[in-house]
Amino acid sequence: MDAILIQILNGLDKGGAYALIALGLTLVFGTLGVVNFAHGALFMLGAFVSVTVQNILTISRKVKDESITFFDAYKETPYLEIWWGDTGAMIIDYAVPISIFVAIPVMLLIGLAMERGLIRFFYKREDADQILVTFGLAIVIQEIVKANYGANPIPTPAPEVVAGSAPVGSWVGLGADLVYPWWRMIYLSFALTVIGAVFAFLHYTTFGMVVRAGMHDRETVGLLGINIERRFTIVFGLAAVVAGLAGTMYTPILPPDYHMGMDFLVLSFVVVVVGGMGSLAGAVAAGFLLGILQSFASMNEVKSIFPGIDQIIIYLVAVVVLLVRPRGLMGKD
Amino acid sequence: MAPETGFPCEQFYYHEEVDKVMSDDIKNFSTLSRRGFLKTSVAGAMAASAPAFFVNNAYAYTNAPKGSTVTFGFNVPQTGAYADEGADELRAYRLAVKHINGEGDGGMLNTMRPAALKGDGVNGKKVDFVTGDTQTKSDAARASAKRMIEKDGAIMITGGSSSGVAIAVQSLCHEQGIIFMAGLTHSNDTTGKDRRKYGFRHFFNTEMSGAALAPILEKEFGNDRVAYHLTADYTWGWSQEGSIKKYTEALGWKTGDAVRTPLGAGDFSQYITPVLNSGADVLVLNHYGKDMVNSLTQSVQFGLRDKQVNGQDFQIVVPLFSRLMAQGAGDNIKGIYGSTNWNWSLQDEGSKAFVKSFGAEYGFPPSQAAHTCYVQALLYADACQRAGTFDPCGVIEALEGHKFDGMGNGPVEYRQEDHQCFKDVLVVRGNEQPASQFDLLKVVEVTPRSKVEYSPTMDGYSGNLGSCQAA
Repeated sequence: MDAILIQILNGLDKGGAYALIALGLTLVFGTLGVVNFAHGALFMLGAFVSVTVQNILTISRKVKDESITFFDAYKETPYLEIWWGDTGAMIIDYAVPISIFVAIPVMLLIGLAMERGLIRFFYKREDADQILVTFGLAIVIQEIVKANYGANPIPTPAPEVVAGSAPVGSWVGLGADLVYPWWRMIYLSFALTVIGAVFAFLHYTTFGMVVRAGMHDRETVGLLGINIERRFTIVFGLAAVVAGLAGTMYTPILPPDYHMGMDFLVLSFVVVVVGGMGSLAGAVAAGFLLGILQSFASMNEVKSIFPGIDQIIIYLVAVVVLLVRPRGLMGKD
Repeated sequence: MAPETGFPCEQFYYHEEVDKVMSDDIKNFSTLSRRGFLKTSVAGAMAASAPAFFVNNAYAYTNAPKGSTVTFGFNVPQTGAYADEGADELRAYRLAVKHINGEGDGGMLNTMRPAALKGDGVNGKKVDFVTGDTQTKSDAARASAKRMIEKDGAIMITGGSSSGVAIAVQSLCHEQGIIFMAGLTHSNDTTGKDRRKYGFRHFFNTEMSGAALAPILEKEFGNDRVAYHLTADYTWGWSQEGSIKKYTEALGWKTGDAVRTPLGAGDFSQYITPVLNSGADVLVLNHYGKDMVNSLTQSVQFGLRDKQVNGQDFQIVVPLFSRLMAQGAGDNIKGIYGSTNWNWSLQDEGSKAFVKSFGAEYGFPPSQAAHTCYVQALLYADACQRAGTFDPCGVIEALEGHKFDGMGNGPVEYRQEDHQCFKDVLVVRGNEQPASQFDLLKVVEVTPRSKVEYSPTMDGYSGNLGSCQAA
């Protein structure tokens, strides 16, 4: 029972990240008709917003280690700690949550610049051209990040107060030994909140209504005198913000590196295909479903019966769904 | 410069001598004695067999250098997860080339003993180099090594940050008749069952890590422990899991589960959570690089280091440490035990000379990967100089059984039977009070070479080197 509960939590947590990325992917595909292979790079850029904020907050006074003569080695003390003591240390400790407020405008700007500066020129081009240009863009973004931050993962810890684990076992009467990291639960809550906010935005605002109408029939909405192009541009920015926030909040779980976006992109495409291309609800449902399946497939008991199943389960599900229901779980014909 | 075996000029000298013997005997034929007849017969037989003799021994080895330079091929990860480590390897190789060619302060050329190199190149030729990108993928690494051999004329290939890659490239080099001086590769298989005549490894291996770590683990954690292994699912992971199991079980530890994890899994939560209620009180992370950073970070998040199991504090062990990678784990690395091939803080003359050169050139200390690559380049060059040739058979002979010192690991021997270097091994702990941004690992024990030696024919380790004329 303990193991099942933990694997469900693991799956929901992982699924939260898949769902957030897949949501943006399918939103862009549904509105602009573009399969954006650079979407994983936006997830990675969001993570590096967190790294950058942390780097800025920890700008330090360097005291040279005089015992080292062959190169310059320093003992670093952040200025925030020097100036404000414990308050400064606390601000540094909260670097990741603070990054959220920086990531929203930064990712919106990056998304708008990406769409206006490059992707809009490919709307009427072949699918292959769109894939090539967005994939190329992803590689360029990756290499820029690598050139500036290196290839190694960079530690970006969660605030001390939520760095440990919560006694979830005690909460549900399964014993104090059953624990789960606080930050992962925060991430799951955050993912659900963002997903809820996006759905609310699309369903309960005039802007969202127009976007949904445009997704159904772009031409008719245009004939009504509505500048649907401009709204779709904003939707692209919104998708970039969602992917970026997913990355920003994921940094304490996975120390970011320049390649993390590509690692998630492949899985997120599978999620979109399983959920149904263009279906927002499908992307979210498939994200959580595949996350949970992947976690259960990794259990020793399951692997002892089906060795290696943890590495193929997602693709296996995708194959079955494509064979049985080619439009995806919630896609439309 | 000593003449090259089988070079046309040498054949010419040989023919002259044979001709001289023959003509002298022919002049004396009219007064033929028994002795004269025998001499003539022997000379005749030699002359008759001369072409075959030369064909057998004067094979033109692959990429024999023709001009004033000789080309080394540096095959390192320039892209992918190990790109930073690859960049450090490349820095070390550039420095080695400078020192071999007589530029810079000479680095370890001043401390290595014995040293045939004089800082004026190798065998009268300046060293040039080409680079390849392994991408830490076996197929890409083989392709770049092949390109450097076939198109760029590399006489030797060296580098890399993965055992899978090292074994693949070593095999290719053996087929091509090119010496491979392995970079960072820690699997026993590299010089065990997959050993090759043309492959040489300076880096230590998992057997040595296990032998060096076990006494420290016993001292720190006792004999009554249950270990749970998370293991990267490829040759190195299997090798390390096997070695650590072997040595910890000899201490009296029990091994609980040993779970294989896919390379580059990213999120290890589904593999870590079963550890919580497994009854194990030690988690052994047989992961390296990004996998190590992620699995260690997430293990700490799941509260493993705060747990008490079987009345003891739960412990995490990372058998192979790298300072470069440890940076990614941040504070989580503090207090964790592991082993390493070399650390910049060592105070022997060789290490100091290398750190000084590297630090002056690049502004920071070298990694263990940089150290092993630098040493490998120097050892190869020195072997060529000692052999007086670039002919791989001659160089292999010079490297096999070669004993040297002054290169950062105490007295070292390139064992003839498996081409594995035997030297002291460092047991380290994540530094809890770092004095600087580079002071991440604290050396807690220098395990002497005698404690980590094993038989080249030990069960599961023996292999077949093959011959030096595979090309």
